[in-house]
Amino acid sequence: MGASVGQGWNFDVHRFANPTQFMRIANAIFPWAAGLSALLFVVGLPIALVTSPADYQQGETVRIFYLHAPAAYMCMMVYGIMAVGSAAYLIWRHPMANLVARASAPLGAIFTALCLICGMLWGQPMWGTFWVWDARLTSTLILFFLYLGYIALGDAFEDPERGDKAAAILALVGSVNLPIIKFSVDWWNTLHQPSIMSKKGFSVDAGMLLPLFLMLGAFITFYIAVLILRLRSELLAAKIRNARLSQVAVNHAPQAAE
Amino acid sequence: MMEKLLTFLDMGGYALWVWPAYSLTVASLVGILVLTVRGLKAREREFEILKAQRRGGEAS
Amino acid sequence: MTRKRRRLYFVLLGLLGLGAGTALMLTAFQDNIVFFFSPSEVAARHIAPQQRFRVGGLVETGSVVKNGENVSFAVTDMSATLKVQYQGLLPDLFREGQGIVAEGRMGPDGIFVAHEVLAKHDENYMPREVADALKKSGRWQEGEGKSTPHPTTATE
Repeated sequence: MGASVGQGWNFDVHRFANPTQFMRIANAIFPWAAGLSALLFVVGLPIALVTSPADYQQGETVRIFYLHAPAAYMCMMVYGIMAVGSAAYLIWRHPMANLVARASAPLGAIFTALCLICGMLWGQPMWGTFWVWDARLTSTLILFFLYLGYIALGDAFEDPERGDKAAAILALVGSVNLPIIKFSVDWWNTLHQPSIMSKKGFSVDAGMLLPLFLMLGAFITFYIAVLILRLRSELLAAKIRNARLSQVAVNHAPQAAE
Repeated sequence: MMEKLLTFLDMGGYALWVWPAYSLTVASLVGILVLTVRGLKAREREFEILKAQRRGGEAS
Repeated sequence: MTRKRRRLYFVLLGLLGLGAGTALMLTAFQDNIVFFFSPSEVAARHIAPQQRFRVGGLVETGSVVKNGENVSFAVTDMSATLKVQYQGLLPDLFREGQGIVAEGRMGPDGIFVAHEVLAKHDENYMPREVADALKKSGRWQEGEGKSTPHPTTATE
């Protein structure tokens, strides 16, 4: 820690990695995220279910799209956050980055499951099948297993640090799946339709983009709010563990002295 | 009025697909929220008990 | 700095290697990842008569003949056409001009005998009135989306 330049840089990173500082910001964000999420659900659900128009081709089943597509976006975004957090943990040993990844995993798994299930409920009436093994569907199922594997691996070791490291490595290795999911519909022909986003803009009517973005906003803010609650919980768990350890130390100390 | 409600619930004949999708989504999101809050509350209680014990230990 | 730097390079190199390996593998298994062949590819590839495969394209306008549960139609990718025979339930989206994927085998008479017909839909979402207005003004045609199977996708 000689050079002053390096010190300034370290100081900033350290501040951000410091759980107290981090949670101060997170706790300030929490009421906004929770309130906005509730508002977006209350406004978005009636538009998605009632007032938005039916599709010329798919009729009322297009309403499943307003859940399926945001869930699909979330499952990739949350995995991205998990992978970046895991990398920051492995490289710089940031404990907060690891906690964010750990707290995100169950949320990401739920969004992936919702994406798959809503997709199946949509595929059966429109395509004529619940499931096919095309590149898009298969790679998304692999993403779901990656989430489950990450959660299972994190708890598989007696030493929590070894579990964290193993799970972080899995999250990083699994991140190669993200571009595969994204571009599967362009690289190979699939039963799944291509992305609604292209250089020409969105291939969705404005009356349908509105419920789509409202639900996406509701999901994103829901994720942020629940993530902060889970982070509080994870930090408390760590405090409890430490308190237990020091208690054991205190209880044993007099006996050792006798 | 009643008729309007029934056509809405029918979802153009796709009620069997649209409603389970929405029910499952709402149920899962409420589910993870409840589990998260419960876990947090349980840990908060546990931590309070630990703190009280430690204070009691120091006093004796 | 050295240990953190080393770990950073290690992670970056690892991801790079992993990505390259995956890319190579996906290219090698191209044929197995592709979900269906277009009629042109079916004509170009000599597929064994008993081999099950999928063919995808648009249902040619005016080609659908329904006879109770029996349906015959032609699948086209605009450069080649394949006749298909099918017995069973069709998905709701099945119509002339619609993208479909059929799974089955080549019959001896050069007609594809399908066991399953799935409908493909494109990425265009709009209300009925908008679709009608666009069609009326001639700015858009159904089945025109980029999801229309074109023969180059799988052979690249």
